[in-house]
Amino acid sequence: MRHAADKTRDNMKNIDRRDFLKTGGKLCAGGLIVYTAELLLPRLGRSAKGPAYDWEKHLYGFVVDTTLCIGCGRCVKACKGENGVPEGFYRTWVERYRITEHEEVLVDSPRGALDGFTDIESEAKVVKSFFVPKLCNQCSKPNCVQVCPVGATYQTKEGVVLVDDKHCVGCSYCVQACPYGARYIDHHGRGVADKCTWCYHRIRQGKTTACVQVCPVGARLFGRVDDPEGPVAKLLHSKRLQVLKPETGNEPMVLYIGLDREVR
Amino acid sequence: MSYRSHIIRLVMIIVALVVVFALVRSFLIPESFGTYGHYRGDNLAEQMNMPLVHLESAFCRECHQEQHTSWQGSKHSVVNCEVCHGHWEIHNGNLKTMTAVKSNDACLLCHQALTGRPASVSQIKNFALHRAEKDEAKTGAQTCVECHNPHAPLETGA
Amino acid sequence: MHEIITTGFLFPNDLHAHWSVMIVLYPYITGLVAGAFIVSSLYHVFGVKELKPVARFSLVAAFAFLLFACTPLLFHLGHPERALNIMFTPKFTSAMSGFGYIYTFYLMIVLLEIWFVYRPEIIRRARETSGPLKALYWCLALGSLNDNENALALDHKIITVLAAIGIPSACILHGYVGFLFGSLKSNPWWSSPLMPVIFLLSAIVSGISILIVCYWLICRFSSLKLDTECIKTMFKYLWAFFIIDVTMEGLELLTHVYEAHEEWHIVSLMLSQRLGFSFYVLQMGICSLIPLIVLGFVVLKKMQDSTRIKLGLTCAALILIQVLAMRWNVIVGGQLFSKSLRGLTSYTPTVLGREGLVVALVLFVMPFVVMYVFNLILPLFDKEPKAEQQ
Repeated sequence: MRHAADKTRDNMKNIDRRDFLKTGGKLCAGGLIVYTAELLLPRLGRSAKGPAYDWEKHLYGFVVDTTLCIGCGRCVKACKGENGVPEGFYRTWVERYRITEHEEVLVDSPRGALDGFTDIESEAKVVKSFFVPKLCNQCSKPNCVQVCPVGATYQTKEGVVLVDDKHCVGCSYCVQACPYGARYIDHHGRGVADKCTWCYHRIRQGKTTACVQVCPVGARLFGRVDDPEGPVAKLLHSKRLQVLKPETGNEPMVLYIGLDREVR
Repeated sequence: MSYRSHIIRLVMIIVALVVVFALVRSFLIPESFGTYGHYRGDNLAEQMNMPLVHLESAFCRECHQEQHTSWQGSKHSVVNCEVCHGHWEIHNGNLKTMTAVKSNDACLLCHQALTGRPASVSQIKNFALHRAEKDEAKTGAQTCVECHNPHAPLETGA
Repeated sequence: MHEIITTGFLFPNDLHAHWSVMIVLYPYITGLVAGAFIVSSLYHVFGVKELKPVARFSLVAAFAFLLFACTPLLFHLGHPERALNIMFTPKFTSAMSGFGYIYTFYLMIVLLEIWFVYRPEIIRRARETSGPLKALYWCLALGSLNDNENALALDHKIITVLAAIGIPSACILHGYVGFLFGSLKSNPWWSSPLMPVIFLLSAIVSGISILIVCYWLICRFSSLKLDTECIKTMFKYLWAFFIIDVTMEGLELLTHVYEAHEEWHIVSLMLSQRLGFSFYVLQMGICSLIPLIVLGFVVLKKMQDSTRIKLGLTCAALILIQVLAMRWNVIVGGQLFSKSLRGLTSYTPTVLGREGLVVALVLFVMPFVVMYVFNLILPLFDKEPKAEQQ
């Protein structure tokens, strides 16, 4: 009698253990599948705080005419004011190129041209000189977005590349990746990556960027490339334009008129 | 069977850790992440809704019609009001705090003759030379604005 | 903020080297991990019997370094409190995203392998001790004191599998760091398909070297007897891997010089004006040529074992310096010239501060503390080789 009772008890134990393991195993497997799916599939249908206009119908571009730029630096000042750019870092800047009679190339950008330029005495005679405004090229194929490990920087459908300052961990990989030096991180400040946003907060309200608005000579131009009547598209379809460092394959959306071979 | 018991315990611990991590992750991952792509969807609204610091000059017309009309018909219509008068933010709400830049340095930022500066903007070598050349009435002016009204710079009324 | 010295024209945002000594330390530490793990796998997978005396120790060394591998990165990040974003929302187009899951996966592999390798020892101690120690060992054994034949045979199979999986994992863990640099088209000093290969090879040689140095030091300052066949085998593998490593590094430099792309002008200026000592003298010169030649003698020539060991040890130490110099030259060097290709900046690590030399030193020393503590619980080396159960 005792044997039978023991055996039944043992069997019950075994069944319980088996069942426990089976159910436990199923639960864990299920959990793993859900987790992997969550990791791989994008989250759909969350948060309705989306763009109010159809962002697929606004593709933006920027044109810089270096033959017009007078090097006053108002654009740099306006950008700093509009976007709170920290001291020592620049979302936009202007470079001055002076080529001497001995083919020497002197390039400078004192504080990004925040206070303009002053003439510098040079021993050799300067035979050619011009100004080149620079800013984030908002590339169509931004490799800075490609290298962000956490998805803090991204490209909107309008072609603007933005940085989510609440998600960025400050690893600086995007700063290293940008071929144009357009990005920066202020380690003594906010500790997140930052760069020109084409004044996204302004352009979404139909206004233009701060730098374009302030330029007294119209060296900068912002607008839609998908609107054939707009000024940017008109230039795109008529003038010969260049980009900086086309060999990167990033397809920058800032188009230049009058780029010299010395400009990097 | 018993020779596998340590493996089974190990596997269960690992699986438990993975499940716990998955749960923690789904709590801590931002709500809107992934809505439009691999980024936090809410950031779009955050960036869009940042306050404007500069406004357009047309906005100033509401209160300053006379100056605006004069300015708009002049050569300085390419220089926005805020360049000399500061951002709207400074003026906003306090009608008495409107600044006006009057120093020569501000004018010379555009009008100083520089190597490489296109001739599209009128330029002077320096203030003294320019005054010597142009100041026939010998007013002895010390600043550009004493002769040039910034809202109508070419009407020097000399 | 330390002063920077600039020459020429730099883009206004290019003045600062963002990746500091912390970022130099990270691949150095993960390199030691990869190398130590290779030694362990040479025994567990490829059956190189001479390496048995250090097989366990190299696993624990790999684990200790792995534990501290992520710490330099945490000290570097602008927002370390958000570091887990790399586990929550990894972006797999980025080489850096590999850090989260690859690192965790590899840590698990090494930890598991250690557990299985030490299981017989843990069980033995669980049985032979009492009180809180017994509880500790019982917990470590996960409450299962199986050490019958079937259990041990199964363990042995699992160890082999783990070590085998571990080799490509170690390669990926260190290879991705090299790819992180090598795939960056914007930096011509980094951008190269050879970069992952060079990083991996220098990782292996640094790992073997640190094991040689540690093994010798431990034998010197404790009662453990140095197994000469073991250390001689390590010299052999060190030399072989080092030959390939130096060849790759030389090839990389040769390609730069020969092809003389647009950036070569500023890069060569950077090397001579900013990295003259660490690149030409240390990395390419003394610390490459001397070990390359002397290790050849150590491996091939007939000599007294004591001389052989002294020479080999010196070479191992020089290689440790060479690999550190190489990491510095690649990582810091790539940031010392502007993307304008017209200017140079400078970088001097601070002594104190979040990314300073003191923190770097402490983080480097910590794995050795971990190994010491580990030894208090479980022995790093077998005192009596004959009592080995495996």
